[in-house]
Amino acid sequence: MAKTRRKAKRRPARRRTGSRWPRWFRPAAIAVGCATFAAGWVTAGWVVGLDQVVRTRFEGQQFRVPSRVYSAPSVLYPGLDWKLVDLEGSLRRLGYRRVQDTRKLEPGQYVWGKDRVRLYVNAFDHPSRPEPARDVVLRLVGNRVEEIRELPAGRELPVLLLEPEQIGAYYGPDYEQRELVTLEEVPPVLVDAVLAVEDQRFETHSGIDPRRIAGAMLANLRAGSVRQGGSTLTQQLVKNFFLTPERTLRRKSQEAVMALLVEARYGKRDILQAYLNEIYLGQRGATAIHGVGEASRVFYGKHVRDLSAAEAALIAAIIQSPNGRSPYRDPAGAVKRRDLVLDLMKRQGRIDEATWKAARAEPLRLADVTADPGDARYFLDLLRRQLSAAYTPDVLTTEGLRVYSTLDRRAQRLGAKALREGLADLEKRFSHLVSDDPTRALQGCLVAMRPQTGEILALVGGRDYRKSQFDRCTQARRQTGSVFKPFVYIAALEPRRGGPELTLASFVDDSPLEVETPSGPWRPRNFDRKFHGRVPVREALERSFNVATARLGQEVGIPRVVEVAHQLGITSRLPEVPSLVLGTAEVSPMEIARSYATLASGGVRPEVQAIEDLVDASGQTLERRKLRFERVIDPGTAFLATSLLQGVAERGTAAGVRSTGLRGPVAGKTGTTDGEHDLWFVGYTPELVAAVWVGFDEPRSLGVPSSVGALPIWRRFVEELTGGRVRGVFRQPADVERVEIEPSTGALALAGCPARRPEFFLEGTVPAATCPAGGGGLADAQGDDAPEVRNRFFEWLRRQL
Amino acid sequence: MTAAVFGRGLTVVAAGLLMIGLGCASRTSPRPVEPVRVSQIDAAADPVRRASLRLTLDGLDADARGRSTRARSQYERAIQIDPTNPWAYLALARLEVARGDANRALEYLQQAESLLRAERALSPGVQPHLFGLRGAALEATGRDGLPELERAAQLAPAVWGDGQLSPSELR
Repeated sequence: MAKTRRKAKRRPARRRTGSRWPRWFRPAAIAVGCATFAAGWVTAGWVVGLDQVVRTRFEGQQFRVPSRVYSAPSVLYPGLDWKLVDLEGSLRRLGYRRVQDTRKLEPGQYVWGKDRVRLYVNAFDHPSRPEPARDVVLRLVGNRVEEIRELPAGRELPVLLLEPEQIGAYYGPDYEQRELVTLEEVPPVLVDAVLAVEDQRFETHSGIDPRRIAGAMLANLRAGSVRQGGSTLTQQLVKNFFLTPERTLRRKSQEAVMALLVEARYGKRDILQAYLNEIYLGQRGATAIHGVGEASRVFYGKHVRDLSAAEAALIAAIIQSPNGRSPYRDPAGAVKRRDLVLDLMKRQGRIDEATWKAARAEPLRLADVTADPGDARYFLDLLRRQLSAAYTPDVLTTEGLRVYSTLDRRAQRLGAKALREGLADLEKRFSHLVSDDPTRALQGCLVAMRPQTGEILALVGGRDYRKSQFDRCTQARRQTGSVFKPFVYIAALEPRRGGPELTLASFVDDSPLEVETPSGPWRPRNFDRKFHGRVPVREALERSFNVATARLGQEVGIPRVVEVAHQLGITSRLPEVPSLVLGTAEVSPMEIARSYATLASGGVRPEVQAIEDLVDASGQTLERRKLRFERVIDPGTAFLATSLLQGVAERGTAAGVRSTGLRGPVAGKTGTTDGEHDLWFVGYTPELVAAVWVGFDEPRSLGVPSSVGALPIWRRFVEELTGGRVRGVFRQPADVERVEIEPSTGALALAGCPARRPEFFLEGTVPAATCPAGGGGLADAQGDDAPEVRNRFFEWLRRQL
Repeated sequence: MTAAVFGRGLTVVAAGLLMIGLGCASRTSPRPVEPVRVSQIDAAADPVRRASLRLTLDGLDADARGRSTRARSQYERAIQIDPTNPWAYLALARLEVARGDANRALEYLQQAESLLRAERALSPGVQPHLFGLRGAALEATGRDGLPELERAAQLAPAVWGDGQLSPSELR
C-alpha cells in the first residue's frame, strides 16, 4: 500500500517534469513544429511568389501582339473596270468567300452572278474612318461596274471601300500571330462551344475540377494510356501563360495552385477572355496562330463577332490538337470533330435543335490563304526603319500597333511580278547575265508613287527578299546616267534673271568639248562615239547626247544644276564637277522617282509618304499622314520638261514604251551608266511615276542598254496596272503658249513657211525670228518683233479683261 | 502721211490708256462673281473624277456636321482615286484653315491652284476661294493676308463677306 502510495506520489512529479511522454518527444515535437512552421513559410513564400507571377502577368501586358501593317483600302465606284482591278481576286485575298445562296448572305461573303455581284462587305474598324458592314449589289455591264446599291433600301453608293489588306506584321522572336478580342466581341456560341468541349463546369469550379479529374483518371485507366486531360480552362490558361509543357508533379502542383490563385483574384470573364486570346490554334507558315480572333481571321477571313455556330464549333474542335486537326490539313477530320462539338453543345443544352441541324449541314468554307506577303517585305522594312525613329523594336513587336500604309496591293503585286519576270527574261536573252552564285545574281528594283501626293504605291527592293533583304530602291545609291540629264535642261529652261537660257526651239552644240578639271581635262563622248554638231534641244535629249548636255551644263553652271536637282527632290550629295550633268553622282532610285514626281505634278514637290496612319491597340491614333507639298519650279517649266520627256518616250531612246501598244500620255528617260553597270528607266503618266533600276550589287557590265534592260520592266508594270491605257493628260498651263515653228531654224512659222511643227514656249519666249525670214505680211510692215509684241499685247489684254 | 501716222499713233495710245484705265478700275473694285461650288462641277464623262468628287462632297457634308476627321479621310480617299482632283485639295485647305494649321493649308492651296491651272479650271468663280483661303491662312501665320481677304470679299461678298468659307458654301 505504502509502495503504491509512493508510486502514486511519484506520478504527479513526472507529470510536472513532462515525463509522461518519452524524452525525445519534446525536441521532436519542437522540430516538427519548426519544420511545419518553416514549411508553412516556404509554402507561403512559394504561393506568394506564384501570386506575384500571376498578378504581374494578368495586370501587366498580358500578350505580346505583333504590329500589323495594312495596305491602302481598295475603292470601288461606278465606271471602274472590275476585270482590270481583278475584283474577284481582291475579294478572295481579303478572305471573302464565294457562296451560291443570296438569302443568307453574311459579312465576308459574295455571290457572283452573270451581270451582278452581291457582296456583303466586312465592317472596317478604324478610329477615324470606320466603315460599317454593308450588303451591296454591284451591277456589271461588260468590264465596268455600272452602279453600286446598298441593300435593303437600294440606295445608290457613289463609292464603296473594301477594307485594307494585311500585308505583314512585325513579330517578336516567338513569331506569335494574335488579334486581341474582348469578350464582348466574342459571340456566345463560340464561348459555348469552347466551354462545352474544354470545361463544362467553368462557371462553377474554382480553378480545378475534381469531378473532371476523376473522370479523366477513370477514362485513362480504362484506356490504359493518357487519353483525356483533367485540366480546367483556368489550368490550361495557367499552363500556357506561366509554365512549361512538361508533365511533372511539381509542374502540376504549380498549375493547380496558380489556377486557384487566378480564380481567387480574377473574375470568370477576365479568365475566359485571357484564355480565348491565348489559346494556340495552329501554325501558319513560320508563325503561330494564337487566340480566337486570329483564328477567325485566318480560317474564315472575318472578325470573330461574325462567326456562325458551325465556324465557332470548328475552332473549339481544334483546340485539343491544333495541327493534327487543322482544317487545312484534314478538312474531313476537322468537320467530323466539329460535328462532335456541335453534338456536345446540343446535349448540354447550349444550342437548340434548329441551330444544331443548320450548323451540321454547313459545309466547311475556309478563306483562301492570302497571297505570300513576300513581295511587300521590302516595303515593310522601309516602314520599320521609318517607325524605328519613334518606336522601339519591342514596342513594334509586342504592342499590337496597326499601321495603315499607302501601299496599293495590286500595284505592289504587279511591280514584283514585272521585276521578277523582266529580270528572268533578260537572263534568258543574255546568258552572260546569269550567275551561278545567287548572291551575285542580276538584281533590280522598282518603286512607284503617286506624283501629286508622294504616296508610295509599290516598292520592290530586289529580286527575291528571301535571298537578299537589301533594298536597292532606298538603301542603294548608284550612278544615274542619263536620267539625270533632264535636270540640266530644266535648269536651262527655267526663267530667271533675264529669261531662260533655252527654249524648246533652241539648238545646242554637240561638238567636241574639253573642260579643264583639277584631275585633268574632261572630254565627254556620246554613246555612238560621234559628234552631231548643232542639234535641236529636243533631239539632244531624245537621243541622249552627252556632249550637248555637258556643254549646256557648262553654260547654265554646275551649281545651278545641283540646285535644280535638289529642288526637284534629290537629297544625296551632288559633287559640283562637270561630269555631274551626265549622271555620275550616286543617287537612290527613290530620290529619282521623287524628282520625276515633281515634274509630273507640275513643279510641286511632294514629300514621300508610306504611312496613312498609325493606331495603337486601344484604337488611339498615334500618327496621321501629313501630305506635304512645295512648289519648287514654275508649272510652265515643269510642263516643258514633261513635253521634252514625252518626246523621249515617243521618238527617243524610250520609244520602246509604246512597243506593245501602251496608249495615253507617257514621259520618261532612260539611263545607262558608263560600262553599262547600271540600267535605269524612270517614267511617268499624269497619275503615276515609277523608277526601275537594273544591275549587279557589285557593279559589273551588263552589256545591254537601259532600253533593253530596264524599260521593258517599267512597260510591263504600267501596262498591267493600267490595262494598257493610261488615264489623264499632261495639261498645258495657261502661261505656256503653243505656236508653230520652222524645225530647222526654230523660227516662228508664219503663213508661207514651208515646214512647221508645233512647239511649246513659256509666255514671252516665243522666238522673235520668223519663217519666212522677215515675217512677210504684217510682219514685213511692222518689223521682226511684231509677232512677239502682238502676242504679249494680247496676253496682257486677256489678263486685264 | 505724217499726220496719218500721228493719228494712228494717237489712237493706239488712247486705246492703251483706256485699257490701262479699265485694268486699274477693275483692280480697285473687282466685279462680283458667282463663287464655284463643288457640287456644280461636271464630271459626267470621267467616272474616276466623278467618284472622287462624290467623296469630296461627302467630306464636305461631314465637315459641315463637325466631323473633321471623317471629312479629312473622305478628302484623302478622293485623292487616292483621283490625285489630280483639285477640289479635294481645296476642301483640305479649307479644313486646315478652320483647324488652324495654316501652313498645311497653304500647301494644299498650292497644289489645288497648280491642278486648277493645269486643268484650265482657274475660273473667276474659283478665285474668291483661292484669295480668301490664302488670305485667311496668311493671317493665321501672322503675315498680311488682309488684301487677299478683302479681294475675296469683293469678288464674292455673300460667301467671303464674313472672311470665312464654310463647308456648305464650298459644297
